[in-house]
Order: sequence, then C-alpha cells, then structure tokens
Amino acid sequence: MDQTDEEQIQALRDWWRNNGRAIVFGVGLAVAGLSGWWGYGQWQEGQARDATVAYGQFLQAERSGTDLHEVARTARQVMDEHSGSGYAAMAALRLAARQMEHGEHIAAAEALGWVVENSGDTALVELARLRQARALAAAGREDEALALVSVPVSPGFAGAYADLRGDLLYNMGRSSAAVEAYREALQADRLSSQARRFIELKLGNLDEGA
Amino acid sequence: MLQSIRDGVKGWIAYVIVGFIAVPFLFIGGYSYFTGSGGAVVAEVDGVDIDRQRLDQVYRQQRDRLAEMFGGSLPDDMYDEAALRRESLDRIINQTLLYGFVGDKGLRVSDQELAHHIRNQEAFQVDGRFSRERYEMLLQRNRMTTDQYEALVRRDLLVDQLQEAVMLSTVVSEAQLDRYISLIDQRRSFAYAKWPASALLEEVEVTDAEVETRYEAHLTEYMRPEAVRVAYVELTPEALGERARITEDELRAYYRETRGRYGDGGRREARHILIQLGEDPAEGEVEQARALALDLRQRIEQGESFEELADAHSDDAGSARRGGMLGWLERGDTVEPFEEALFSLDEGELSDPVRSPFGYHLIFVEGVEAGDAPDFEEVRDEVRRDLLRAEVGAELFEMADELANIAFEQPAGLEPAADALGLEIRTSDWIPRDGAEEGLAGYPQVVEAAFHEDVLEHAYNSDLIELADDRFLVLRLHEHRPAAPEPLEAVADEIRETLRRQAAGEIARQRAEALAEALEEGADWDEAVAGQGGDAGSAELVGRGDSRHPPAVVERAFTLGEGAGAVVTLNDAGAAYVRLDAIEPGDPDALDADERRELRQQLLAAGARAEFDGLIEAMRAEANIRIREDRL
Repeated sequence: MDQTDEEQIQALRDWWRNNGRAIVFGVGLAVAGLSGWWGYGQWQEGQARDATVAYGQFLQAERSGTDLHEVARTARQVMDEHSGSGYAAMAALRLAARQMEHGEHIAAAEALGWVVENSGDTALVELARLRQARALAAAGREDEALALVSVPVSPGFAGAYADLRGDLLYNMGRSSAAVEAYREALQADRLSSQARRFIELKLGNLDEGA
Repeated sequence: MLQSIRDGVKGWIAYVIVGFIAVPFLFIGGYSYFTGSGGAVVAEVDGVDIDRQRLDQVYRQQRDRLAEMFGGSLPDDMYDEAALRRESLDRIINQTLLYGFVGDKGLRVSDQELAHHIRNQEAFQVDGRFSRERYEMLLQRNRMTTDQYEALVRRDLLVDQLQEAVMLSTVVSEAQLDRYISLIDQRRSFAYAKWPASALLEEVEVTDAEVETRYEAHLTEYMRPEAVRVAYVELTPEALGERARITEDELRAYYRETRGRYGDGGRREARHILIQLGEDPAEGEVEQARALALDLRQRIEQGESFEELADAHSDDAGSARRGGMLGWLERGDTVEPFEEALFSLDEGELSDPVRSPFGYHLIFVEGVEAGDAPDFEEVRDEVRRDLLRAEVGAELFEMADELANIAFEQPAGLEPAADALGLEIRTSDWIPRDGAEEGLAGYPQVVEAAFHEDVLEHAYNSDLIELADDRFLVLRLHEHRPAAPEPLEAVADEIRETLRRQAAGEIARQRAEALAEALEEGADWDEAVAGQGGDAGSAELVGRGDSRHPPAVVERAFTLGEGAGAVVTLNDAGAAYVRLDAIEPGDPDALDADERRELRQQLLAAGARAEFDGLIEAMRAEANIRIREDRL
C-alpha cells in the first residue's frame, strides 16, 4: 500500500489507458440515448398538436352542420392519420351520431365499428359496441345487433346492454326472453332513475300478471 | 462479500452498470423528492395517490353543498358522515380516472383556449372585465402559482373535451321516442270489484284473549320510551324584570325613543359607495379598504361630489354608474349593519364607513319618508320585552355566568346556585329520549343535556343551557324511567283496532280470491261480483296517473296482460280483484312538435348522463384501485 506519488500517477495513467475508451463510449451512448428520447418526445408532441388541429377542423365542420360529407371527410382524416390519438375515437363517436341523425345507420355502425377495432380501450369499446348495436338495429339488422350486446360487459354498461337486448327481443316478438332481459337490466346497480322507470314501463307492458 | 464484488466486477463493465443504475435515480428519485406526499394516503388509483387532505377538502365541499339545501345549517342526523366521506372519495377516484384517461390519449388544449376560459371566469373579473391583479391576488390567497393553476384548468378542460364528445354523440332514435310515448301515454280499460277493510269491520269480533295474545307477542311494538324528569333552575329576563319593576311611564318613554323599531319604520332613499372585500380578507386588506373609505368620506365633506366619487371608486358596478343611487329602501331590504346605519341617518347625512359582508360602505341619505308608527297598546308586550332586555341584559348575563360557575363547582345539587341567585328549583314533566313537541322536552339542547352521561349516570348538574330569548337553565336528574312496555290497558284499544283491520283484510282477500276462482270457472262477472258482495267499478280508457279509482288497482291494471286478472291489496288493508279489458297505446302523433322535442330532450339528457357515467364505471372496472378503509 506504500506508493509514491509517482507510482500513483502511473497507476492512474494505466487505468485510463485500459478503461478510457469504454468511458468515452459509455458517456456517448448515454448522450445519444437521452437525445433520442428527447427527440421522440418532441415528435410525439408534434403529432399530438397535428391531431388537435385535425380534430378542431372536424368540430368546425360538425358545427356548421349542413354538409354530412364534409363532416365525414374531416372525421376520417383524424381517424386515418392519428389513429393512436384519443381524438380519433372522439371524432368517430361524434360522426356516428350525426350519421344516425341523418338516417345513415350503416355508415354510423361502421364508424362505431372503427372505435371497437382501433381504440384499444375497454371502456370506449363497450360504449361504442352498445351504440353500434343500436345503429344496426335501426338499419334492420337486428340479429347482428343482438349478437353485439350478448357478450359479457363491465358493470358500467351491464344495465344498458340488457335493456337494449330486451328491446331487440321484443321487436323480434320473443316476449318472454325480452322480459328476462329487462329483469336483468333492472338488476344492474348503476341505473339512473329515469332509465329504471323506462325499463319498468316496458316490463309492465309485457308482464302477463304472473 | 463487498470485497469480492469489488474484485469480481472490474473494468469498463462496472462503470457502464453503475451508469445505468444511476440514470433512473436522477429522474425518479429527484422527482418524488421534490413533489413529496402530503399526509396519509387514503387510496391509490392506477399508481396515483389520493391523500387525506384532498379527501377532507372534497368532503367539506360536499357537506357545505348539502347544508345549503337545508338552508345553511345541517342537522347532525340528516347525514351519515361515513357515507358522505365514501361518496366524496368516489368522486375523487372518478376524477382521477378521467385525468389519467385524458392524459393517456394525447389530448391537448391550446394556450388561447386556456386563456379564453380563464378570462371568462367571473371570479377573476372586476366590473365585467378580466383583471390580472385580481387573478394573481386570488391565486396567491390560495397558495398557488399561475403555472400550477393553469395546469389544473388545462386538465379540467381536457376532461370537458372527452365528456362533450361522449354526451353530444348520444342519440335517441325516432323509434325509441315513439315507443316511450306509446308507453307513458298508454290508456287502459279495466273492471274491478273491491272490499275495503273499513266496510267489513262490522263483521269482525275480536276477543280480549286475542288482544292479550298479540300484546304478549309484540311487546316491543308497544314500548314506552325511556324518559327522565329533571329538576332545574331557570333564569329569564322576566324573572329579573319583576325585581326591576318597570313603570308605565318608563315603558312609554322607551317606546317614544325607539318607535322606529316597531311597525314598518318608513323608507330611505340612499346612495352608497362600496369598497369591496372578498370573503375572509386579510387584516391588511381590511385596513386598506377602511382607509380608502375614510379618505373618500373626507373628500365628500370637503365638497367633492358623491356621485362622481361613486362612479369612479365604488365596487358596486350597478349603482356606481348611477352615482351610487340605490333608490328607496325599506327595512329588510339590505343586510343588518347597512340597515342599522341607513335608518339612523337623517336626510342629507353621510355615514361613517360601515362594515358589511361585502366590504365598507359610505351611505348618503337623499330622502326620508316616515313610516306608520303603530299604536302603543298594540306593541306594548314587545316594547316591554325589549326594554327589559335593555335594562337587565348586562345583569342577566352576569347572573348566567354565576349560575354556570356555582352549578359546576358544586355539582351535587342545585340548591347552592338557587340560593345564591334567589331562584326557584322547579321540576319538569317527563322528557322522553327522542324529545316531544311541547314544554322543556321540545328543546333539543335540553333533551341532549338531560340524557348526557354526566347527568344521567353520574348525577351531576348539567352545563349551562341557553334557550332562545335569553333564557338560561341548569338541570339535574330528578327521576329516571327506563324504556318499558306500556300497560295493556293503555294500548288495548289500539291493538283491538289493528286486529280488526287485519281480520277484515283477511275476509276481503278471501272474497276477492273466491271471485277469481268463480270467474276462472266461467261465472258471469256481474253475478259473481254480487255473489261475493263486492263493490263493483270500472274504468274506461284511463291513463297511468288516474286518481278516480283506487291507486293500487290502477297500478296493477297497468301491469296485466289483456283479459288477465289479479287480486290486489288496497291501501286500507282491504282487497280488490281487477280484470284488464283493453289496452290502447299512446299516440305519438298526438304530440305537437314542441312536446315531442321536449320529451326527446329529456331522454337525451338522461341517456347522455347514463352513458358517460357508464364509461367512468367501465374505467373503474379496468383500473387498479386500492382503498385504505382504515384511513378513511
């Protein structure tokens, strides 16, 4: 352990000769990594900004409200070019509503189907699937609609799914199955009082006094 | 072991490893170091902590909102603290989920949008325009920087974007609306026969033995609640007044001095200048406002125009434009301190700065209209009470203090206090644990004191209790009666009535069921009803809200299929049989465009809300939520 200054400096030199390259390489790697990360953040921010602008254009078209084609075109732009952004699903939901109001049920079902396929978010998917089933039912494709709302769903939408199932079954003339669906809907814990009353009315109308 | 690590890991590999380990610490360690975590964590939502402080804050807001619905003060038994805390936590969790959701979705709010939103908030406006100083002052008061506040607003605006997208894309189809109308406006025709219990009471005999049996079996229903009688000494202005001996002359003189107080007191036409103070102002601000008011007052006295100064300086924008003019005011139009000052001024007089909840006012009276003073005899009692209070007020409060002290220092009896103050010890009637309408039992604070463990178990004197109208009392236990069954004689009539009604109901049900059976076997309706002695009735196409027929019958009729019948229980415990004859759906075309639009709006609003709530609920199902029940 008794080293002179001379020897210590020599040892340091040797150490640097052996390890210097590695350190320079390591630091370089770290800098490259950080700047890559930062650059990615910048790019992402740019993408988010573009998506916001595209959604803004869609909102403007929706607000002016006369030309459904323009609404669909601007919505499509958000959906196609920014499919990873939340704005894509929001535009699709809104587009579908405007299409429903104009009687374009099939187109609406397709827009909602896009959300089901692409949003990748359970809550939004469940909402979109419920609306897609309504759109298909309005277009007369009740069997497809029934299949869509006959899948397991989280408690948030259980009541709404069962309610729609009841409506579809009722329209198909399957009264007793409809009664069962409505009863199931009333079992859901998170049901607004208004929804509950409407379901009770529908159920009361089907009950044979049993 | 460390040595072996040092020996084993050498060369550049070691440095690279250390480097990799160090970098994350630089960010993560430093980050949590700076933000810290305030207070105990009550829940965790997808890795986001919710601390107790936040829960307390939301809980208080919720409770205040509830209190507002009850007109300011919230009775203790009107809410369940645990449930309300739970609801508050739910709110925070939902909000946290929404913040997380919009945060992940790459949504953005532009700077212009943010600025627009903030500038339009009334709290930050002065005279209808955004004020930078006010904005910064309010934030400072809430210990927040503008950056922090703007980040919060931005987050809320993002949630608004999502909420709007979901709620404005809810659709109510024509078919749905038609079905709703056809159901709510549906009308039905039905026939029924009823046997009200009251009509059958005559046919029922109830023996004493039956009454006794029920009494024995349902003792708990016939309990007399726990009650106490208390001994008490009471201190009232009237009691002191007897000693004070008020003469007729004194009464009339007092009335003349204060006549403005009785009757309507007349009207004053007034101008004012308001120097506004926010809620809970700092001391410095109050001083500053007062100084400004004094300064303005001096300038007016030196001849400057009240109108012009009001226009330039008053924070009451509405009146400032009219030179501070408020118009004619009566008692009750304004807040207490303002009114007090206003009605003590004569025409042409200017007030000193008056402090009200709004800030400081300078009041100038333009005109006075005398009111109708009522006749002395009419308000004699009121005058007497006010004079008494004025005369004996100070003495009364001193005596109340003394009463409290003696009763506390010698807790084993009321005599020392009664002797010292020359008061009488009286004994109350029975005070049940849940209070009563009249007497001392009608004061919740008396009931609470009488059943306090110090009084009930330790037999001490109570604390001093203050009732309305400057009445004070101290009480102690005189007699205690535990809860016990009422004696049979006291409740026999009630029991007999219950039993008769029950038996009558049973007969009614049997007849209704016999009718159902007869009809099943093909009997004629009129004959069968008459055979069972039923009271027949029928409804021709009535709506759900019909009130001309028994409500239980109508309700049941609306859940029957055509041709079906059922037995129902009437509200008076009697029975009825109802048979549905016809259903006529509501006609959607019978509604005009406005009615239809309104119904659609209702369905739409409810549907949109339900879908957004459903979305949040679905997020909850997905999320990783941990609630620390023990810390709530």
